[in-house]
Amino acid sequence: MIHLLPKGLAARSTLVMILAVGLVHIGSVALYEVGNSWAPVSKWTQAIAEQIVRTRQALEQSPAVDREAITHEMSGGSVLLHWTPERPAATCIAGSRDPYGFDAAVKDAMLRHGIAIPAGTLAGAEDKGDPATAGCLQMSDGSYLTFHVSSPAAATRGTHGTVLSTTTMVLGVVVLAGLLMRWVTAPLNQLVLAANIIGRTADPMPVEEVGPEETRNVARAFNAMQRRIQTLVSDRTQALAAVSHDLRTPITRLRLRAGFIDDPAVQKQIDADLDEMEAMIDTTLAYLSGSQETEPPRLTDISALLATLVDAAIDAGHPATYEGPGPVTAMVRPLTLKRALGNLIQNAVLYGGNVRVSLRRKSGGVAIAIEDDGPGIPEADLERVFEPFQRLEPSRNRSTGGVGLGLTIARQAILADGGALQLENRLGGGLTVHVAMHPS
Amino acid sequence: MSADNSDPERSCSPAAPRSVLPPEARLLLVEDDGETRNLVARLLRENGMAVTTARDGREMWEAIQNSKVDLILLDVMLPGASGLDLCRELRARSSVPIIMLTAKGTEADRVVGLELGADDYIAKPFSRPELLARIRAVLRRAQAAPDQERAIGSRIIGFAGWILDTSRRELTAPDGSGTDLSTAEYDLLLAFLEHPQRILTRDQILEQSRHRVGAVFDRSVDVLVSRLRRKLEPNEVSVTCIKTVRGAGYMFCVTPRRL
Repeated sequence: MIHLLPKGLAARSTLVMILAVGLVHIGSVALYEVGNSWAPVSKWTQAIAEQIVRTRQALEQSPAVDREAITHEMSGGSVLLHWTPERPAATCIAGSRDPYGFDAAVKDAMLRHGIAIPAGTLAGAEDKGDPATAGCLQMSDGSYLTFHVSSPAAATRGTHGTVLSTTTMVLGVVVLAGLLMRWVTAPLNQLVLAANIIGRTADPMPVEEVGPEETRNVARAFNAMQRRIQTLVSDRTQALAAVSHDLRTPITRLRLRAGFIDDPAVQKQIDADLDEMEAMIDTTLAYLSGSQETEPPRLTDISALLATLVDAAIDAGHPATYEGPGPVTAMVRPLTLKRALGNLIQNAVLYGGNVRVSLRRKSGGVAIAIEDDGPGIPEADLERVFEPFQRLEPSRNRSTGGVGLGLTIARQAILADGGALQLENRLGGGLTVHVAMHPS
Repeated sequence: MSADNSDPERSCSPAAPRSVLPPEARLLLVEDDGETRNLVARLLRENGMAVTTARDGREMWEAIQNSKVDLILLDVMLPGASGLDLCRELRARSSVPIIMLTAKGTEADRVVGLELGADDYIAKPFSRPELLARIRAVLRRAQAAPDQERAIGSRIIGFAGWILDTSRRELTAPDGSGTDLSTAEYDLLLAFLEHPQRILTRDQILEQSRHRVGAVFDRSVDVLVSRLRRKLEPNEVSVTCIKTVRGAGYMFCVTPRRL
């Protein structure tokens, strides 16, 4: 049942309005009909009773031979009159239904005209069923005047036109209301867009403060919230960046100090620890400055870039290969992309081993594949690994785990250059990272 | 303690001018952080160099006036006049070799420093062997090359359609695309460019390398040359830049031009 309801605010408001206006419309038409059939009907009844009583008076003063002709002349409108010397059994039935109150109305008119109502003079009105009402009056000489009245409904039949025009008007109002509701709720749609963008780009997207009071207030509150969030984030980012940056001074000192340790084994271990600390600071700073990266894009040989990275992995003692055609160029930010691809290759080296990097020219640009023979990533975690500071195995030694920013930085950088990054678990085991860049 | 294999005394090159370092290179270290200053000075002294220290620009100028200096290690972040300002002023007065000490990741400082005329830069935190290797390389180059060759304006080198910008350490291919080089490849290319049309032995190549130290580089001059060749000569139509001279070494057979 619920699912049949329209989902949008504008549609629901319009539905409520249609129901309300529809009810009012039906109610007013009904009232109009009822009023038509009562208030005007009593006047209509009186007028006809008057007509009937006048006819009776005219008949009283006329000879019997003229009476039939007179009744014909006096007939008119919705009233049909007849004179009969005998009592007409079909029309004079006492106590029959009298929906329009002709019995009382005719008697009232007779009293008004000072006509005594002889006992049994008026037999009563007879309802022959809609649309006609019939009745008879006894004359002073014992003859009868009969009348047939067609129903007032026939007289008010013209109101159907009114119903039609009001219905058209209601439809117009509903359409207009629908458009107005859309206009009123349009700022809300903008708000939704802005809310969806928060956190995806570095720059906040202020919402225009338009529309009705409530919508304006929502937009204002939303903009204020956006500013607060941005201040909060930038404060913390700055603090983290400052700490990371300042850590380099003590690390520099430690590096130098380690040189004066006599035990070469200890010296080597301290250097390794410092390497690790430095790497953590570098990645953290790279992540924090990622959104403010100002490196200009330039035409770059991706092939040479990958060759450097793979060679570095080989020099560090890891099994790695690179395969690709000669220069393959693309418009990218070289240092940023190098860091991104470096992170991906580093991950493959650390988690997979036996890294194979390949480069292909594609019709749509450049396709890079980084394959390893590691355990891959559980399907459920394929998206989670891109979140900052997320590491698949929290228990894993940090010397292989890093700070959990490698993939975050890589995706940030590649998306910013208009590329795409995708992880794929291969059927036979192992992970393949697909990177696609646009053509130069 | 140093794993540096590029000691100048090992040089026996007939082609390259023989390096003659003074018995003790005189270094001036300009660094405001006291601890770092003392530690660097101690490290350099233990490796056979004479070190004078200065905390800022004022002390630096004093030290220069008082004694002769072979090389200045200049920190960028200094109180008062920054290292970059001092570098500019120094270059206006003399051609003394300068190595800038920059904070890692501040690419702008590095480029500006080199454009202002610094001979090299080293990012903090640096490793000890790296610092020593850089200092020795710059000293050696300063002695080997006349002053004007290190002057500003000679930092862009063209060869066979390629352009090497030594202040940005950027290599641009004939088609205008940037070609990434590892530090070792860059140093090797620079060595070739400084000694074109001459056979360089493996030992000479090692010696010319300014940066890489340690076993990996030592045993893989051939690997390194093949890597550089793959980038400079990616396909059959490419101009051959590096020739292998059997039994002797390698020769850079394109004449570079200073642009």
